[in-house]
Amino acid sequence: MKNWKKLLAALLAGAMCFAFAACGNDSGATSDPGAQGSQTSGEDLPADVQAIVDRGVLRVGVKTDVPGFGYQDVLTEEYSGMEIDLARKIAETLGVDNVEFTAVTAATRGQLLDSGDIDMVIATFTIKPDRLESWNFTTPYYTDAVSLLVKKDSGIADFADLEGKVIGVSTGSTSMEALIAAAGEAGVTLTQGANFAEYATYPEIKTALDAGRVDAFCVDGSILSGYLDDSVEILDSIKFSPQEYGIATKLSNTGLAEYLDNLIATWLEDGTIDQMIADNGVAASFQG
Amino acid sequence: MLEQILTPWRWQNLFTQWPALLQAFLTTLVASVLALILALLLGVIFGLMSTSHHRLPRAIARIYVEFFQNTPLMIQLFFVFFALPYAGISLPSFTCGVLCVGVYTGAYISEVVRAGIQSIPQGQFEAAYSQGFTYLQTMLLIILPQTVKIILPPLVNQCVNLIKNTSVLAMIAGGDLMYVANNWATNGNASYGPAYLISGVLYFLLCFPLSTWARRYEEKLKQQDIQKPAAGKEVAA
Repeated sequence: MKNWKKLLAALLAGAMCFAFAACGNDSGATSDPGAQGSQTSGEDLPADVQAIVDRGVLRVGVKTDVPGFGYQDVLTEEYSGMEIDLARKIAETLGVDNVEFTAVTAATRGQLLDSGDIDMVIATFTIKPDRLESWNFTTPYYTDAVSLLVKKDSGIADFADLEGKVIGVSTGSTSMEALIAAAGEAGVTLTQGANFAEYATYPEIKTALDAGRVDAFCVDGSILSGYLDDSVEILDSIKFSPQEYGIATKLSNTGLAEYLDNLIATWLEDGTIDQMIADNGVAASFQG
Repeated sequence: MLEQILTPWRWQNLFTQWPALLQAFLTTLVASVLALILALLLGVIFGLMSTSHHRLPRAIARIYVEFFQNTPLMIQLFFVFFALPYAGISLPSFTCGVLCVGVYTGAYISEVVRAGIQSIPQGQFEAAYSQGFTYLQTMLLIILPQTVKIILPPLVNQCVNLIKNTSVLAMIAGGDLMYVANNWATNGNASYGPAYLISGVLYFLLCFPLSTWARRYEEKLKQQDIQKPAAGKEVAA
């Protein structure tokens, strides 16, 4: 019995040391930016980037249900969208031939990064201060705005009409707090308990909207456009809260984060990303 | 996961939101109790029907059990939640959850009850009838009291399963423990490590005492052959 306790204590102590040591490393590395300036020469790549090159496979978490961004055709199994193009471009720059896409949702992408199953997430992942404590994000490659999808006969036209209504949002998205804030500014009080229902996937929210379970479907406009049909419409009158999408990496992969950040900055400047946006028929970035 | 669990500030963030956790825990508890009452009612009724001498009640009980045992709870729930509104039946998500989990577990409990009744020797039915007991009297006074002791351990197991199954409420925004854990795990700074650990511990606290008690009770039953003395008293009475 006593030995058991000792063993457990030792294990815990070891784990704590490990965790603190890891924290120390992280903060040390982040406070030391700009150490590596070059990004194209293969010689002095950071260790975490070199690991990807050595592996020969770039593993990227993407959306599969957002046309224009990350979309997988059910029949052909082909991926398409600007985020897919971005992933392929990164692989090309790294000199990696294979890109392995993993389907992620708002609820799974963080865990998959932390567990090391994927190298990066390019999946309409909004940069938020809270999230920066858990993952690294690059400079935003796209800015979207949150909007609402409603039934055409719902009678919802602006924030005031949302009082007493239930709004479907995706678990783990930023839409809920954004809508609460935006409605608050318009003098309408919405609460998490009374006005919101969280669902795991976007198709479920659309199903809930069709079934009358929720009165509105609230998420980034780019995602909503994938769910338009004859019975529903996107409210042009309600567009708020710019959502900046960045590429996310595991917090400890600081070398990779910086490498990607440099790439995005370059591609924003030389028009590569604008071209990807245009190629995929996506509306230009939202101007706050 | 481990890294997150060992990060103190994530825990501090979560503990500032303990009222939400308590609320969710109560929702899970109330849903479990209501679903259990429904499941026990259905279980006893259909369990009795499946030991009936008449073909019709037996057939009805069979259909009920086979249908609910052989389709996933999740699909039953999605049907009630997403499809029934088209037929004009739009129950709140909490009610949907209680109803589905109750009816689903009821099918399993009815099988437990049936097996329990069938484990009582046929001679006792005959003895009871020969003493002038009606069917209802035989069941209530002689058979079921003995059955209860035999089926308690498997019954408690079903109860534990029921508690865990109420987590399907999370899929339809039911506000239960799993729903709030998902919410914590993905919103804000996404402290999924502590969130799932806490909710796991809370489910464990609900289920472990029950299953331990059931196991102990089963051990006790094995040590004493309860059928003979109990049967002797009941029949003599």
